[in-house]
Amino acid sequence: MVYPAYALPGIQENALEFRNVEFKNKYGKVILKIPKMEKKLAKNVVNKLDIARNYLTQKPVYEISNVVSETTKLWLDPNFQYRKMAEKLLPIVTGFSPQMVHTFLDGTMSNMSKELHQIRLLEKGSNIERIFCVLEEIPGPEILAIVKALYNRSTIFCKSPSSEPLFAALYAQSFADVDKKIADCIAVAPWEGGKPEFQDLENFIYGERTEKDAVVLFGNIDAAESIKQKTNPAAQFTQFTRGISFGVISKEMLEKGKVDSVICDAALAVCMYDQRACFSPQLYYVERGGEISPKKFSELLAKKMQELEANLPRGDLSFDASVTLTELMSTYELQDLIGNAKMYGIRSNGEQTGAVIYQKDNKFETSCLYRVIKIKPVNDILEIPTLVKSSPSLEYLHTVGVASSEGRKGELEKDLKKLGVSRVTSISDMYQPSLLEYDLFN
Amino acid sequence: MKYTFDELIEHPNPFGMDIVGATQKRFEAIKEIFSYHYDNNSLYHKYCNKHKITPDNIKNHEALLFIPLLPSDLFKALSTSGREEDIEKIASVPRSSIVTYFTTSGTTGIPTRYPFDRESIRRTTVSNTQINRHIGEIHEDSYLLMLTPPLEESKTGLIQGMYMSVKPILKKDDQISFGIKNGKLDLENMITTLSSTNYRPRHLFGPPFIYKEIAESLIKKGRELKLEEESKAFISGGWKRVKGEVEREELAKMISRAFGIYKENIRDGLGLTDIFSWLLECSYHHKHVPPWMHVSCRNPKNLNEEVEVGKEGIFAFLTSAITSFPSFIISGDIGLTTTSYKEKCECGRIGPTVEHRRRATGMSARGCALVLEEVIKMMRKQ
Repeated sequence: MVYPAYALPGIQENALEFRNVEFKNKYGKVILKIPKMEKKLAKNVVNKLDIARNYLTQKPVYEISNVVSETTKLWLDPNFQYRKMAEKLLPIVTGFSPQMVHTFLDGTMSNMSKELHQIRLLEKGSNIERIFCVLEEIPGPEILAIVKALYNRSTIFCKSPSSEPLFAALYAQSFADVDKKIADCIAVAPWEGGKPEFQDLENFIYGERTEKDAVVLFGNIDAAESIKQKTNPAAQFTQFTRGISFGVISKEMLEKGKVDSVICDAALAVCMYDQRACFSPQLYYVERGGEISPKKFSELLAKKMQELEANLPRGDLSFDASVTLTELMSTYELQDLIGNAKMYGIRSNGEQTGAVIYQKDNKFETSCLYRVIKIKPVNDILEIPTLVKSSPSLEYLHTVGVASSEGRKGELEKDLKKLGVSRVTSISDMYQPSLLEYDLFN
Repeated sequence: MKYTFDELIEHPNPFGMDIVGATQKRFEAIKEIFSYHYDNNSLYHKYCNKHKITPDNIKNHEALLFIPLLPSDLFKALSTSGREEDIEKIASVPRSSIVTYFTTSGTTGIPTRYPFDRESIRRTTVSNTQINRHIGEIHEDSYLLMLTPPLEESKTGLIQGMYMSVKPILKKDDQISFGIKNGKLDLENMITTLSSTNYRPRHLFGPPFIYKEIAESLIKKGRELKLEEESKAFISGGWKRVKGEVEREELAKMISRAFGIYKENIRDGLGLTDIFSWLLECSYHHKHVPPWMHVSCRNPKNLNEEVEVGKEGIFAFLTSAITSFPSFIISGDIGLTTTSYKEKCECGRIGPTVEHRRRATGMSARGCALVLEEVIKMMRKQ
């Protein structure tokens, strides 16, 4: 079966040219139908969105909120057609395990249903009428962008990545089950950004913008730079680019009665999204002097990650990623024998699906992702800002998850914020960013 | 005791051995060197024990797949500190036997170091000499112009290795010369050098980007040369600097036109930097693995499993030439076997033959998390 991976409201299917793209991995095979995007079509889509916006502008915000709320409720129902489609197809398209997709949908939608009321109250509102949003390969940001656009009574045109064009399209289409006219305000289409054949299209999408438009980008830094250059300066430009995150566990959290829940949170933060999210920790600094040592913490974390592997297995790895991971794991195995590191492997069906690597030094280092977490000891958690300061990763720091007493956390947070860290939160919240944290209209 | 390696290397026609005999000898040579490292390298011994492999488990050629492999990255990691004692942790010979540390330039800017004793230097040199003689068809009257700086201006394995392995084939020292002096390519001098020598056939050796530069100049100036029918252009070194500008096919056309070298004589070599060897192409452009080495493409999810001929896998190199460290390497390179060790290549020589596809693209996440390689890339850009 061929599944449409776009949402172009008001455009007749027979007016489009399509190509089929096949996705294949250990979870199966799927063919997605993708429209050929060009400037003329994009202009037509924008015109249709402009007309559809009249409906939005006349609708009170609480009614829009009800539509979003109803749609969210539908997504929480395992029998909702779009949810069923997402659960079936996203593992093939994204490489996440079916259990991960299920957890992501449950977690994100329930989180959103809790926050909708607050979002409505807190939204400042802006005079932006159209949002052009560039999405990343990881599903999630489209929910935030679409909901915030609707609350602002803006239309939204999402450029989904050609490597994951599905979820944004499904989410956009799903609004039609509650309010067809609201769904008409959301367009989604993928194309390969930056390619010469899309130059005209991108000159229109980004270049022909006015002060009534916003370009919002979730993506890699190279793409951000190029899109920023193409965007008309009159338009508002907001970017959420890739990042690096880490966690901190203080000695007082390593006491009996506390340590189990910290380990559970720390394991989940690593395993969620297979560490592919900007808020996923790549390193945990663990303070010495607690009831258990940082090394013991590593062992317990590995045990918990192994347990999680049964219910939340790591997803599929690309061939090249498998090659790199194999080489890295063998290197750590030997470093372990030499005494330079201690590696606790996580395995499933004979395959290494992750690792906890304990190293005695305290140098700030990133991981290779896909559930490989480094643990380093520190004498005092307040040393950490100094350690991070000299790292080349400093300017890309995204989230720091802290498990500590409130007082020490506050002190650490102050120093980390001075370094430019945008988000300091608890480890349990690292992988559940609140919609309230993202300001699309800066 | 005479090692099987020496028996193989002294064979008058190592690539013309019968397949069954070569397979048996390859197995014996690799098993011997495996036993040697197992007995003489405490770290490797522990590693083998962890993988529950001893020399007794290596009973036949198929079992070579079970020999524990050292990742190429380990040498990089141990070289980071710059301390010799760190890299010596991987040595199978005492410190006093290490005569040099060969280096390769890493992408991170820190050179990766490999400890070599005299025996390993001798063996790798002879190995490369035999490859150049039997696949490269360089003989005692040949002439080689290296399109590189001379030995005193560069310590890279590419230049030193080629010189050391070709020299024993030739009668006299003046049968090798260098085309780049003081970092500059002197086209006129190169033409004069090639024209004034009486040795035949005249061969060339160099990296792709230099060939491109020279070929373009010769063509532009209308100074195309006509070398002999047997002349060859040996290509080694990265394609990175010419990729995007010119494809291999295009470069071959340029070389052919500029030097009058037949296309079948334009031979790419695959440099196996971790074991200081290279695999050279025959006239059918298949890179031949000599019988004292085992190169196979493995399943990255199970390194003890070889992928089918023609399918992509992760390259594993095992050589019986190196005594100073366990020369059983798993790299981050992706390639395929084009002729199995049970078959002959179209050129009549025995297999296996392999093809290098690419360096694994790494862990660049399909998501919004940044990995170190991306940070480095951005830092370089800045």
